[in-house]
Order: sequence, then structure tokens, then C-alpha cells
Amino acid sequence: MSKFILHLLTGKSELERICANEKIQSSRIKKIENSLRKSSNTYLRSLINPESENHGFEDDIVYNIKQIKNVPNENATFSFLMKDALIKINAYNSLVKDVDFIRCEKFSKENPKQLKLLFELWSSLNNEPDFKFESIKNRKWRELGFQGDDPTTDFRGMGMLALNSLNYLVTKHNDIARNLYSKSKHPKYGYSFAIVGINVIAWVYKLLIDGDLKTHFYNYSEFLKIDKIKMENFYRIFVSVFIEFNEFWFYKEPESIMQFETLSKEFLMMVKLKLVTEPYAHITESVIDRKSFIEKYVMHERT
Amino acid sequence: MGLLSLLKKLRSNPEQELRILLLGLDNAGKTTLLKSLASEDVSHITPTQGFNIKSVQSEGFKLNVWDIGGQRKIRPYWRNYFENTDVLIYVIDSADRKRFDETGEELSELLAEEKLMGVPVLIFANKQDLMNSARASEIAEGLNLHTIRDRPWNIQACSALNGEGVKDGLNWISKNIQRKKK
Repeated sequence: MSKFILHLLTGKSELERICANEKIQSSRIKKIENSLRKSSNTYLRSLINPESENHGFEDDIVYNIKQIKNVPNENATFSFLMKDALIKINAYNSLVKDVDFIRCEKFSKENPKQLKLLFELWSSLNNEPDFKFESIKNRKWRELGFQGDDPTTDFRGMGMLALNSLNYLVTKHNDIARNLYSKSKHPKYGYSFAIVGINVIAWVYKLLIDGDLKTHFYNYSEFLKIDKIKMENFYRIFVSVFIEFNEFWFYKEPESIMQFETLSKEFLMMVKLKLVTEPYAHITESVIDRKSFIEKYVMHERT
Repeated sequence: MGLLSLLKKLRSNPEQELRILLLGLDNAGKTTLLKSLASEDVSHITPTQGFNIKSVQSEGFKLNVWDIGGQRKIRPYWRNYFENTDVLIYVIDSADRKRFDETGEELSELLAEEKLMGVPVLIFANKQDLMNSARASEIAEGLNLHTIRDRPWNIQACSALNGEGVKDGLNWISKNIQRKKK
């Protein structure tokens, strides 16, 4: 009803008003998405359906929207912003699909590529570039923070997403990985590096499918040059969140690992809060600017 | 029965809360069982660092289920959760035959714990959905369960993944608790 009244007053449709007034990218795209979702027009609703094949037809779609909503043809800003929104909404939806596809893939001992990814976890953290275990089962995996002798049973519901993310961390950000790994060996505040890592992956995965990461991805543009979010950008978020959690864990000085459940819930609340209250948030920035997170959300507890 | 006595009966019978401890080796399926008890999605499980806790409603009971990680490093913490336990659920991966000895040792250590004396124990022979899983009777024999004399016990074949057998286990719990209270 209020939409109708506003329309009468301004002579503009809701989509037009959003594009004209909302200056923050992530907020604007979320509002556009919402508006499309609630639209009474079937075509407009279909645009945000994850199964829709809109990719590459954004110009035509924007033209259709302008027709449906009677947007003046010369409103180029509207066209530009709507196209941008459509590309990003689709890119996010297809990232969800890509990530889920990898997650559903199970580790296979017969797959040499997957075996390589697994053994790289060991070799990258231990300066043994060509090291290979005779068989997968080995007590040494426990040093890396797997639960038992067979690391592959720890991937669980995260499947190959767990292995790929851990591999990305240790091979592409080896310094960070070594730093985290050595922290995980702390005599008092230590934790199981691999399985905490796998839990972090599950958190990031949940943030993705619940839509919390839209704030992050709707703000970013550079990785959208091919209209697709690369998996690497997902893995980068995993690395950042892992770093943040490690900092948080040490800051809290937990009595034992049994506080993991409570502290991880508290930590996740903070991450969500950041994504809601800071529409400019880029999670991965904190990889570089590490202190900010703790300072902003935790320090005040002690003062 | 008059209305008053009915009310009295209801009041004297408030919902009973039970503290349930869920233990077993890593990868036995404890967290999947916990989620299955709570009718939650079991497809996004991760290894338990520390513990998980959930409250589940079942047959007039409120079950507070503590799922403690099974990793060897965490097992020393198990004892911190023994106090006031009403039922111990011990989960076994029926397909992991190589670790039957290890799981048997952990179980007999638990049964020897003073703080768990007389606490009914329900053993879930989990992962019955797997081709190579051992049958519950086979496991019972291997672990010499028939020698348990100091408490009610039961072994229940189940698959936490598809939910089969889980309800039967819960029924056993409610029956045994009721019997105990009477």
C-alpha cells in the first residue's frame, strides 16, 4: 500500500527510487533484489530465481524492466545500476551453486588429484615438498589437527570444499598458514588446526547460503570482470575468517578447547553483526588490517 | 477423576528433564545422531571441536543432550561432563572394525567410572546403512556387553544418517527412566 502511495507521490516506481536514492552498493542491490522478489509481476520475480538463465542477457532484461515499470528511456543511471545489480545477484547465486557442488563431492582415495591436494597439506606445512605417506592412514595427521589417523573422515558434510579450502590456505597463503598452524600448537590456548579449519569452512559456507555474504560480494566489483565470482574469492573469505577467529580465540584466553562451542557462537554473532551494520564491509580486507576487527568488536568489553 | 485431582496430577508431573551424555570415538556419528534426535538436517556436519548441546523433546521428556567430541585429545575432558548424567548414550561406528578394540576399551573405562555408577547405558550400533557394518549382536558379543550387571543397558542398531532405529533407542530410554522413577 505504501508502495502505491509513494508511487503516486513521486511518480516513480520502487526500483527507480532505490536506484536514485540508495548510494551504498550492497544495500542498493539487496533492496533491488527484495523489490523483485516481492513484485506482483511474475517476470520480475523470476529474475532473481537461482535457476533462471539470465546470464548474458542483462541489457535485454533491463530494457524489459523499463517497459514494465514505465521508466523513462533516457534514465541511463537506472539502466546502469540495474544491470550491475542483475549481474551481481546472478553471480552470487551461481557462486552458491559452485560451492555446493564442490561440497557435495566426496574425497576418493582413487583420485590422484585429490590425493595430491591432501598430501600438500602435510608437505606445505612441514617443508617436505615431495613427501608422500605410503598410505593415507598415518598417525602424523594428528599433528596437523585431524582427529585420527585417517584425515578423510574429518571432511564430513563439507566434502571436497573442506580439502580445497585447507589446500588453498596452505599453498596460496603459506605464511599465514604457518603462523596459524604454530599458534594452534600453543601449550595453553592450542586447538586442532585442521578440524577448527573445517569448522570455519562450515561457518563461511553457512554465511554464504544464508545470504550474509551478499554484503561482501555485492560491494566488490573487480572479480566480476568475467561476470562470475571465482572460487578463489570464496576461499579468501575462509582464510580471513580463520585469521580473525584465531585472534579472537587468543584474545579470549579460553580455559580449554571445551570453550570452542561458546566462543565460536559469540564470534559468529560478531561476523554477522559486521556484515549487517557495515554495508561497506569487505571481509577479506581484514587479512591485511587484522587488528581492526578485535578492536572494534571486542576491546570495549575490557574497558 | 475430578477436575481437581486431574489438575493435581498434571502439576505433580511436570515435564521431566533428563541429562543425556553422548560419547564415543571420533567419527562414530555422535553429532549426526544429535541432529537426528533434534530432527535437523544432517548433511552439513563437521568434526566436533569441544562439544555441542541440544534440547530435544521426546515422549514427555525434555532431553538435554551433550555431544562431546570423540577425538583422543578431547577424551580426557569427558569426565567433566559425568556429573548428574541420567543416561549415557555410547555411539559405535559399526563399519570401523579396526577400532572395535579401542571403542570397547573406552566404553569399559566409562562403565568403571564412579560418577557414572548405575547410569543406564544405551549403545547405538550406528552406520547400519553401510554395506560392511557389523550387526548389533556381533558387536554386543565382541564387547562382552552381557557381563554388564550393575545397570540397565541396551544395544540398538541404527543409522543416524537415515534415522532408522533412533526412535527405538529413545523409546528404550523413556521406558527405563520411568521404571527407575517408580
